[in-house]
Amino acid sequence: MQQLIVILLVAIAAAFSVWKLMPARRRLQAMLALDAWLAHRDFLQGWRTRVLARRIQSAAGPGCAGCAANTVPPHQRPR
Amino acid sequence: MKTPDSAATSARLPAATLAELPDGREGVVAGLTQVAGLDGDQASALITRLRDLGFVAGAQCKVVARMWPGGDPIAVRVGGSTFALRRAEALAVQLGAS
Amino acid sequence: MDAAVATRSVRIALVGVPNCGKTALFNRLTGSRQKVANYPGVTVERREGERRAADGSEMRVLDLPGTYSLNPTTLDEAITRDVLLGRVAGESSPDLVVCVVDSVHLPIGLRLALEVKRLGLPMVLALNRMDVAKKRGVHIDLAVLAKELGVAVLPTIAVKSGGADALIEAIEPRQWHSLRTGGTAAWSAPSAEQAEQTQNDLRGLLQSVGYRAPPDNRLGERLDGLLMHPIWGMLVLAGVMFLMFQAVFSWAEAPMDLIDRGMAALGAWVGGALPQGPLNSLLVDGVIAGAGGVLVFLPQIIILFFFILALEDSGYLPRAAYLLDRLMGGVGLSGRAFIPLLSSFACAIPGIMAARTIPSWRDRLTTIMIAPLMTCSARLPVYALLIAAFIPDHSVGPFNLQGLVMFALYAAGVLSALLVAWVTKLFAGARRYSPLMLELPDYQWPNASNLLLGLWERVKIFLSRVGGIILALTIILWFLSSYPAPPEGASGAPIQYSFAGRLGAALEYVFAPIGFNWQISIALVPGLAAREVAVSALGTVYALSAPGGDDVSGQLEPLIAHTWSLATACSLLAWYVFAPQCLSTLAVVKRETNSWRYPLIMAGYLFALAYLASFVTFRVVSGWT
Repeated sequence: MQQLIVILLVAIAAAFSVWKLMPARRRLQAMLALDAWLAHRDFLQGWRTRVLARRIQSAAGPGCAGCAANTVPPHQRPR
Repeated sequence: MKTPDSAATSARLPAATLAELPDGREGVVAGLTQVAGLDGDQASALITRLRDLGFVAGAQCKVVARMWPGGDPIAVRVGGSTFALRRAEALAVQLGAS
Repeated sequence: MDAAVATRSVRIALVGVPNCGKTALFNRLTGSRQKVANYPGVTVERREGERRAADGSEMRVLDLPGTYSLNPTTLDEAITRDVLLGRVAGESSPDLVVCVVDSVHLPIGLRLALEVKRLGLPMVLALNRMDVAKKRGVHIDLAVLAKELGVAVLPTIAVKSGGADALIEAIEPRQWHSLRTGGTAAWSAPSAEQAEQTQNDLRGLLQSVGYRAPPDNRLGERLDGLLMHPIWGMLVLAGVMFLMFQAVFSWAEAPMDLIDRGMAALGAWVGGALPQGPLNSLLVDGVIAGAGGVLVFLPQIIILFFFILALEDSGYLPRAAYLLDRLMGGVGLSGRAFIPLLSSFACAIPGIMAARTIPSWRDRLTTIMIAPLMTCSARLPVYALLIAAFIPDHSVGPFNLQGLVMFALYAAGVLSALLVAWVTKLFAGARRYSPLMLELPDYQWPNASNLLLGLWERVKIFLSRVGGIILALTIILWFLSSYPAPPEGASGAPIQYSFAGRLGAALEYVFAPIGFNWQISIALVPGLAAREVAVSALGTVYALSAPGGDDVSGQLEPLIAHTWSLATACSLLAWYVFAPQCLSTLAVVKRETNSWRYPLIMAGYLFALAYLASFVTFRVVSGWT
């Protein structure tokens, strides 16, 4: 039983790592493919319009909008 | 205030350009010139930007700090704001009689 | 116009010179409903927020980069102009422009307002910091200003709650029909006569509103006399940096100890609660020993950023740039490189992108290439671990030895960056002039709520990194370190038979000359994704290393202190000063320079320097101890 949980967790960790470390362009392609696939289905539409659409928009712009360390540079911080 | 004798006029000026203005002395901006050593485009862009920052004819300015050695950069107060300028930039600001 | 307003959300743009309080006002208008993204094609940040109007419609508020003029000198400023003119892909001109002007520095802000007015967009003027202006003896006749300028003028105090109420009322969509200013929508770089005209208009305006330049700020001047003095100023700068690192160690001790013990207790509890087996090992040796090992450094990160944010807010940083400008010029860096390089102390990635504000390609490239050498916050857990394990907690005079070593490591990063820049300069030839013209804003007490908000942002980023990629990679590493299981009757630690163990043994050939054992060699591999992972990887690897698979008690730090030599520890520290392995950084460099050449050069030179530094350090320290 423990083995099963462990395999599951490792698989999730692997998938997550691959996702995070993928080049941004591939990630965007993957998201667009997912979006296109969902367009013809009738589940997860709410998630698609809210979450996926936003993710695609921010990923489509260049720069580190998707990076966890994205912060405002000093010369643009509120004064 | 003008005097007919230009030598006397220059004798009353604290300095010819901002780069030579002693610390703490007030100067009045007379105009902006092209600085030798910069290519034409850079020199014009510099003049435009300096003017936008407030270095216009008649503006009062004061040097509040000077880096060592060589006075590069200097900190200048003009129009209520303070700016750090390179020596090359300060040379573009001509001072005149108040 | 009303129909258009009703059918789509309206867009309001905030425009103003840098340091006028525009972004604080933006925060007040949008609260937490903000989003930071990028303008298409460039890396200038696009800050947009939302606000609900009284009639329920959505208003989008855009915080444009600060600019001194619509005639741009940097990419930032060009973006502001382009957004206003509707030249940015996919966006038309904003529906309303709020021009933010600092009352204390009226001339420079008003001059920009005159330029913006000429664009003909609906406009209001927000006169900010009216309270400070009054205190400094600056009186502005608002009614006259509004009449002469022909736009609505609202006083605001962005930093006080309720201080923007007048503005909020004025930007309600139902008020807009009265706001057209009239003028041409097109824009071209002003000629000398037009510039002259603007100046004359400005002079007239300032006179009619009764503006007098504020008397010099005594306190500010006295402070500048000290802080910008060539000698005293430098000493103060060094002192401040020094103090920062001392604090990072001494203030963090108690909370770190707390987290450490919490993690140990959690590990013991989980280990006892679950029956022996792979899940138990995954959770205790993988998750808790691994990712938990990085979590313990949260207090230090908070303290470091507390100082950085406080310094930013206080207005000190441009003074530091002023002091360092000569030095930077001496190694061939533009004065404009100071801010990107400073950003790199958090993470090199935004720093590398901020280099886009440097006009000259050569200066920009140099800045990009040395940005990773500025000690990024991901190195902090590695430094902290090694220092805690190997540097005794002694005092050297009034200073703590551990804090001193931390400071020395940061200094080594900065010095190596300057050295590399200088070497680049030798190859590149004579330097030309590059612009400085940096505004030195008024000193102010750091705003407590800004500070807390900034710190909270940092905490969230750190926690999401730990709970995200660090945790994931640690789990994978655990898996690779636990399987395949050792054959029957094998001696030695089970980990040596696993995938990771074998890989580590192979890598050890490469790293043995610089004193790295196979555990370190293994830990460097996941460090490619995130430098801090080396700490969690070490945690996991050592947790799994007990011979015969017994439970490992005790934490990573004492383990390392006992099993590694001082030479190895110093060698690893030297390696991390250069730390060539962050893949995300290399990816950003590729994107910014549009070629593979520069990221490869960067990886190459960083690796060579790291290896060399580690080698020398290892040999020297071994010979000496």
